[in-house]
Amino acid sequence: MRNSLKGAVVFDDVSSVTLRTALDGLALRQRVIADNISNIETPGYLAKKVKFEEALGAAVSAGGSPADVTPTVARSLEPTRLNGNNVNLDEETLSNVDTGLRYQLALRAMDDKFGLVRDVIKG
Amino acid sequence: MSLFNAIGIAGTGVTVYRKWLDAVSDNLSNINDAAPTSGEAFKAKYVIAQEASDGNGAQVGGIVEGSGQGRLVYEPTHPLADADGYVRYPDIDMGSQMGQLIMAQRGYQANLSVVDRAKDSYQAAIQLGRNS
Amino acid sequence: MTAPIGAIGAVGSIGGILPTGALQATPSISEINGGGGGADFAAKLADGLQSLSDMQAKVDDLSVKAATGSLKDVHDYTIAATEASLATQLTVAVRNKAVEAFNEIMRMQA
Repeated sequence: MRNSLKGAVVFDDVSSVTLRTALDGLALRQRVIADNISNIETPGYLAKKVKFEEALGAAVSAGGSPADVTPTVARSLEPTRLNGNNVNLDEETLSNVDTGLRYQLALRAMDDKFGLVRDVIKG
Repeated sequence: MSLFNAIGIAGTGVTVYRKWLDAVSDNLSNINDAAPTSGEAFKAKYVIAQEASDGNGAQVGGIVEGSGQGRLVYEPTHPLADADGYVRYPDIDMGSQMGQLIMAQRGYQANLSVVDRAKDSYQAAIQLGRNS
Repeated sequence: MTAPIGAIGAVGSIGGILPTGALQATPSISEINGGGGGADFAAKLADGLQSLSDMQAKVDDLSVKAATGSLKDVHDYTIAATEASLATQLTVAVRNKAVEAFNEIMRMQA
């Protein structure tokens, strides 16, 4: 899931790359949530979680390149129920709503960036 | 979830009410557990709800067990009856447990509708100034 | 490009504006035309461009915060983005009008 915009001159500044990485991470999170919800009764299944926000924030504030941050998938270590499954339906449902909203916001932010250039081009 | 805070806070409420529902359903399913008088009756579970330590929403402070005294019922034909014919049953009032069940369910639904409304509001905020 | 600049200086009361350089705030604009009205307008234009660039920087910063999830309120970002977009459109419109005015004057010269 590397950025394929290496040749693009206009859109490789910090905020564009950060937004691209965030969009990748949020889309991955949506898929992982769907996975977790479909496995809610599977014995021994540990919920998967996607992490990228902290790494991204750290990369940006340390002045490093946000392009090097990739979203990671890890298994949740929360306590399991009797059948070894630890998927929490409430948490997954709310996380779904939250991720959907964040995805919309990040898309809006990307769109606004393109829009500013478009405004100047249209004259 | 500091970005969409209302959803995170409602999430803590949902967790508390879900635990309450679990405790009440546990109590109700064990309401007729027989125990010998030498032992303890099934202890009802009570969920302690309190404000979250970081100020965002609610948390379960702990689950307390009720008394194991129960009530003694005269049933000489029961296999667990003691020499005097008594068996120990838990002292759980079904009526009050059903009342709690309804309250827990209402609380759960109320928190979910907060999430719904908050989602609509946030979507409207994301669409702000969008028409150009 | 010295001849057109000299012509603009002669007209004086219209703030002389370099069409190709309009989007770079250069203080030399006010030196070139020397008219009082021209200097004020040029200064306002320079201020406008600076505040536009500040606004765009703020929007960039807020969008990074939105991506890392540390934004406090969603509407902070969307309001700033709308302001920046409108300010950009306004600046572009001002530039276009200025170019039109310049072209009008050039036509008069011939």
